[in-house]
Amino acid sequence: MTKEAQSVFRPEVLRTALIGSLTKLDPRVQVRNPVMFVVEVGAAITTIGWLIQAFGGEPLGGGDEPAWYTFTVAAWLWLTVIFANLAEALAEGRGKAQAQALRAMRSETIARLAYGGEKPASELTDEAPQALAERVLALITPKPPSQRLVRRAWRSAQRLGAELDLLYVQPPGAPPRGDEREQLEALRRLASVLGAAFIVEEGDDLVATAARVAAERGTTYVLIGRPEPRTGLRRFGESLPDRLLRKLPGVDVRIVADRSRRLEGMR
Amino acid sequence: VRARGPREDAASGRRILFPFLGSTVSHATLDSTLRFARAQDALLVPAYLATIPHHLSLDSPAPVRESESAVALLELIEQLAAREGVPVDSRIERGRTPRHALTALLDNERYDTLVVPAKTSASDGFDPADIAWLLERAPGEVLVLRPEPATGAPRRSAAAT
Repeated sequence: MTKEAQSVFRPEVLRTALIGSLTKLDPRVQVRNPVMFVVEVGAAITTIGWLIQAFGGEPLGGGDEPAWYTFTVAAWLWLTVIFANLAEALAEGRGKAQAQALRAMRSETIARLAYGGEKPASELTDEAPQALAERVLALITPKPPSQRLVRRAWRSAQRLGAELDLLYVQPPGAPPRGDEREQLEALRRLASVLGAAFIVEEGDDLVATAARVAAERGTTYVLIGRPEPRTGLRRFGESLPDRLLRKLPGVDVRIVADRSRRLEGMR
Repeated sequence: VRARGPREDAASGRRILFPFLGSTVSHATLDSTLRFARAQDALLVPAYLATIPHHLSLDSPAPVRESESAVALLELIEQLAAREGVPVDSRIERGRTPRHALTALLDNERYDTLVVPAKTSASDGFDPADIAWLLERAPGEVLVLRPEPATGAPRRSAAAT
């Protein structure tokens, strides 16, 4: 990727950011940024004051400043809010542009094949090495160990420069209640703090649902916690990691260990 | 030290909330909190308080450096807790200031006892104004731990790596 491609001053990024800086003027959006919200309220009040003066009224607050002075103050306040919004929208736009560039790279890059010839990277099959943007999917459950799984998945995603998705497969018609509901909410908040996408899907079959989501999201790594011990007839069936590997060819499946148990193994 | 293996819940059903911030937590504070949790047969809920700068939306992810500190410290606490046989359920909460994050945490989490580390020259923690505010606002039992006496005793702290 060239420096030009990464620049935030490209027309399409600027256009989106400019529109974003205006849509962010919506008080419901602006209230999330308290400093700029207060400036926006000040700008609105000053504008009303100027309009009153422009139509022959007295200055707000009983002062004797001229209308052009009130207008100047209002304009500066609006510009302050718009530029703050623009800076935030530019930062967001840059992140999106980088993600798009990585996706575009797949279709624009010409791969030189080891066995001769060239073809677009997007046409590469499993027979040839692929250069894709990494994407991590962590399969969570509404239980405390999932907090550790999410943190470990976030670390892996950071190292890979990958996006992180969290997937909870909910049994049909059985929404989590009580403690499980609290755990799920806590996981949702953790996902938001770490910048991960939180996905809830209904499904009877964890592996089939995970495989579908992984295919839709372009997942390259799947992280799972320690599988529950298999009991009864399940002992003779295929294990969860084996099923995932079979359903997700070409995707790495990693089991996240509980490091606090390492001492047990050393005894 | 005998490893007892991790548990997911506490037999007593009690929950001890342990909010902390910064990149260090003193060993003394952690030791005391874990001993207290073990004596109470309680679930320890360590909660890292991340601060979101004002130029970012409150919904933004926490800055990477802060998330790294949180992840490293929570991992460390979970390992020490497992060694003591204390079940843990970790959290990361965010806010504009530590007090704002603490308010969100208190709104979101159930607890029986709140254990807060006080700030010292050697480790991060809550300053006296925050603790006074907490004592007025937080319902339930509040336990303030000052990590080390200010008498020049050897100082140690666990740092996020």
